Amino acid sequence: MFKDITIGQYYPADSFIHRLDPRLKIIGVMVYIIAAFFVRTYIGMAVLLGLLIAVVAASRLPVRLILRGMKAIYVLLFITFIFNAFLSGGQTEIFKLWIFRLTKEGLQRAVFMAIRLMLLITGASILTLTTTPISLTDGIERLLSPLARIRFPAHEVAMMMTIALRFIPTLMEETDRIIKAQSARGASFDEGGLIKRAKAVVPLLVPLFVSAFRRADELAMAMEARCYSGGEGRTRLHVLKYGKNDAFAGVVLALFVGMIVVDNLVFASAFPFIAGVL
Amino acid sequence: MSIILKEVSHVYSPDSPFEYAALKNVTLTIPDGQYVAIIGHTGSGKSTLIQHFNGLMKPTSGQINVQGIDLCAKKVPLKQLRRKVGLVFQYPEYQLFEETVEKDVAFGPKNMGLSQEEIKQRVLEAIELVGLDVSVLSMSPFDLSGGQKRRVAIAGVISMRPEVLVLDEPIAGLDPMGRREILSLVAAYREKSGATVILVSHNMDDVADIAQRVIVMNKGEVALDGTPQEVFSKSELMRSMGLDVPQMTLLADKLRARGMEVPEGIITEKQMLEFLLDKGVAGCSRT
Repeated sequence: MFKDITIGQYYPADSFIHRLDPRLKIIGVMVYIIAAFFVRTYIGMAVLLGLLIAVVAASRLPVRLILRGMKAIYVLLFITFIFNAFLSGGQTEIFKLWIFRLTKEGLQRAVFMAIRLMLLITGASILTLTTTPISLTDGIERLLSPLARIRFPAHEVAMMMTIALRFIPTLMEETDRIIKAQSARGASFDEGGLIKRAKAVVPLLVPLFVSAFRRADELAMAMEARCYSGGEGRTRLHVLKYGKNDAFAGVVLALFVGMIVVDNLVFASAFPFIAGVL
Repeated sequence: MSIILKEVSHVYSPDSPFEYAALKNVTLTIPDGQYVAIIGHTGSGKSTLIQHFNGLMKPTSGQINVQGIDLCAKKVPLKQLRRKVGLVFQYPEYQLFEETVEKDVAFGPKNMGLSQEEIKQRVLEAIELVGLDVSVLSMSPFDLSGGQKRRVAIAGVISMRPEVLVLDEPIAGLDPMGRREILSLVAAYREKSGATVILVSHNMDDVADIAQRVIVMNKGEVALDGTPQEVFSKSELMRSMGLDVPQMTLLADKLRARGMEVPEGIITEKQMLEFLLDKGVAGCSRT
């Protein structure tokens, strides 16, 4: 029943992207998302899209899976598109209905915004699809570790994220089981009005909370029994190391940033006609 | 009326790297009133199979008919089906949610739309049947002991008076005393209502004791199907599937290896005792 949620899911495969260092992938996605909002020209958009296609090809992810992730945000996309198209002003009017004006500028902005959102979601889901949750949090911990000097609990934050991620499938399974068990007793979760439906959730939520607390208790006990005492002095099984592939990907990322900056500074101001500035 | 499965298959997450066939061409008929045990290694498809009995899962292919209801029809009367087939999940005590035991046991009958008096009567009956005192009715289910919680959870299904009672490892994690109590309450319900009972279990001694028929699942297929005597006599095959045989079958095998002529089909303590007494084995006497 949770089959359609692809955001945050890991897709096991052996590819160039899967093998990259998680730190690099996290930085890459952040850079990409910032770039997506930075870009103001068609050429820039083409560069963004080109990189995305190259990464998807190198990741060996089925395109179907990535498109399925879009399903989760199509409502958001639609609303964003409508708002931007009709409410962003502009001079070149296409048509007008009461107070709603559709302009060329507005339409352009709406298309750009929709593409940006799609790139953003796709970029983020490629990160989680190609990186196991464990190495993802490992990467986050290492990236945050310089902050430990200003007393930021990097290890604790990463540990909490690891535990949260670790328990998502468990709790989903548990939810599924409780839904089934209560349905077996004649409960129905999908009929009646709002109040009836809200009430129907009680037989689901109470056991789920009880079991979440029980699991938390058991896990805390098990961690203590193995002498867990936070990050201080703890060594790790898999030490993250940058390799040849990461160097290559880093260079690609740097080139990409360079292209976006040049596009933004040079093309957008010097040749607005070719670039199609917004 | 009976449960009829024809070439039922179930595939999890088809067309993905997680694709997994949990059931492959299972054909079965379980007549009314039979006491059936389903055994099998972890991941053999037992749990998937029993969830098909009350429509929680739909087969990927094949035909299922349960108590006259066709589960492959376009519109399956699920509520009616679940009234007929009661399913007790593994560790059912984790599904308790109401403030009082009474309300929790009444959840099923209430969903059936019964009258207040009828519900009250059924709750009382179910609580007595599972061997709990009526004084627990006003208690919170979370204040009970583990064994009591499980009995309350089973009462919550029995109160719906199902024609078919399916239990997924109802004795897992209980001490010998608790196991006997749960099994005897299941037997009591069966005697009283004439219901079909389908029990998933790992405990071969209990299965040998109580079941009329044993179905062995292996890798999503029915590997063996017959009386406990028939099934457990194939101890080599059972072991190759990662399953145990009853203690007494093991003992009979050992005695045979030492040269004693032990007949096939001894699977319970009682049978073994009878045999040894008839043989007049030294040290055994009828006292």
